[in-house]
Amino acid sequence: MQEEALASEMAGRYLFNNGDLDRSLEFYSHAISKYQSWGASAIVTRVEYEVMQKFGTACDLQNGKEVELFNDSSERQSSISRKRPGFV
Amino acid sequence: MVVSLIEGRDFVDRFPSWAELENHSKRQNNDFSLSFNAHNYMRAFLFQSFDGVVESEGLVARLEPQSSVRVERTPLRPLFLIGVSFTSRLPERVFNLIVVQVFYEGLLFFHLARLQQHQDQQLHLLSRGIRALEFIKFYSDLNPFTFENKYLLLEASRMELSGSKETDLFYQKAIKSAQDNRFQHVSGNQYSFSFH
Repeated sequence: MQEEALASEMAGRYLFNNGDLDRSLEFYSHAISKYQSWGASAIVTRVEYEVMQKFGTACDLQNGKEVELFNDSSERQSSISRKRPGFV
Repeated sequence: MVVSLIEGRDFVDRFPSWAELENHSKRQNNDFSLSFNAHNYMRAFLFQSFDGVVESEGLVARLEPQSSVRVERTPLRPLFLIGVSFTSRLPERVFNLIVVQVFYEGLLFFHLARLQQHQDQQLHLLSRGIRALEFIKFYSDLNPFTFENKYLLLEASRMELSGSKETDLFYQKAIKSAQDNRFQHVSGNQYSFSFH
């Protein structure tokens, strides 16, 4: 459980750094959901804080939604509606 | 802290704080020390707080190639290299702690390498991360049910550092592997010890 959460969190961070914001939020949400299932409330708070910092307080975390894996990358690329504007 | 358990009974925990554990008299005890260090690395990575992690206390540092231990290539070789002795059957609990610590050390080294500005220091951290990766890969090849997701996650982390286009794919593989093998960890660990 915790390793699925950890991998999802790291994937979320990687995707955010590469500008794929929609998928990043999807993976972060999945990570939070799995950390909650594991009972790691302090880690949930830490990840939620990180998400709020990156996406703002109004972002939709969609807890409990399963993450989509292995989508065709070309389809996925065209579905990206938001890109990170620039790197700080 | 008061926690409500079933049947309405309250339970006041008496768990020691992390600082108390750090200064515990049993810290010199091998079992306690191994358990403390494994959880210390896990805690550092999960909370993204790296102040309390001392590299010299890590197991990966003992995996340096100049190790004088000469052991044939057996499933136990990586454990010999970090100084685990086999005078009696290695308890599964101890093996799990070793794997957990090496896994989290590897994640930490790759993460810190990403943050590091100096190339020499970055290469040093990268080489430590790769040693942890090789250790976990060794056991992943023997027993993918238990270790594959750890290997894939370390590999994804290494790929991220090198800018590989397959990083995304490996993160997804790591998640899928963790999902697929969620209920097989216990039996997988038992299997991993059936060879000796």
